[in-house]
Amino acid sequence: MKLDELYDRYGEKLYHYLTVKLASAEDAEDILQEVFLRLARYSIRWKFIKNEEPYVFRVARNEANRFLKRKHQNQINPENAPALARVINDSLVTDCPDPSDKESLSLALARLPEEQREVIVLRFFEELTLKEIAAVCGLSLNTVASRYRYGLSKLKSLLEAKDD
Amino acid sequence: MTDPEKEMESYLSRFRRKVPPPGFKEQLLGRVEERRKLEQAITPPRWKIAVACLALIVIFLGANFFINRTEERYLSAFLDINQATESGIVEEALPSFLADVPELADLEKSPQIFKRRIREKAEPRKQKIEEYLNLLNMKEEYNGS
Repeated sequence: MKLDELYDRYGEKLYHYLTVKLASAEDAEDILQEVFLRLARYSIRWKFIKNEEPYVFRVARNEANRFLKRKHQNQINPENAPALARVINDSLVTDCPDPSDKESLSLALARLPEEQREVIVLRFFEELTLKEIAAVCGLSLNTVASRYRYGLSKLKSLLEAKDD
Repeated sequence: MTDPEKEMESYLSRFRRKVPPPGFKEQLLGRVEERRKLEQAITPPRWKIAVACLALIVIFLGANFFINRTEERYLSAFLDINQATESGIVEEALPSFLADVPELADLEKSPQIFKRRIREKAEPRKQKIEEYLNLLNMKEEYNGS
């Protein structure tokens, strides 16, 4: 598959996913470049891959994890939630007339545990199914489903707490 | 699925990811293409590496065989030892053996008896060469060469 075609299918989704995962649009751009370079090197494997999308996301996830490991930062520090919230806020658009809705959601997402945030971002903004998310994260479907449920419930409580 | 989950899902569906700035795709793919070209220029194709490795292995094995043969010849010449072939030993040792045992000259001219007796005589010489070669190998291993 050509890189151009690959970008049209997954480029924007990967960029958004990496931006949230790395809490930085600049780092996301660098890592996306690495991901595409890796995918170009693996071009010979394409004919053996059944589910393209989880594969591409998995390559991106591994690359992002390697980057975070190099930076000795496996997870986003909870104290950096406001900074992450700003990055998430910049990466989203909404039809809501009230811009504070987007800010509240971004802050709530930033305060979620990393593993729950990842599932929710992949499910809602990158439009992956729970089964695909399980393949991307190398987890069982049950684990992903429970992270999704707990994530939604925590997100709801965080949003309600903000409203109060 | 519970109602609060549905409620959250409908809330989240109002948000979408932002599209990257214009020119992002071209810039990204351009840089990837540049790096790919650089990589291809630096890294030779795998088949070239495989052929080079194979050639090196063949050269090494050939050289090893040649060195061993030359060393053996050199040692034989150095120690004044002829190659201990059976026919060579029989021809070399037959007259002296017959002189040692004249009474058996007629009776025991059977080649099998000669060969066995002479092999017994030649055995210590062969062992001596082998021991010397073993010693040489041990020395080489010890020196790490």
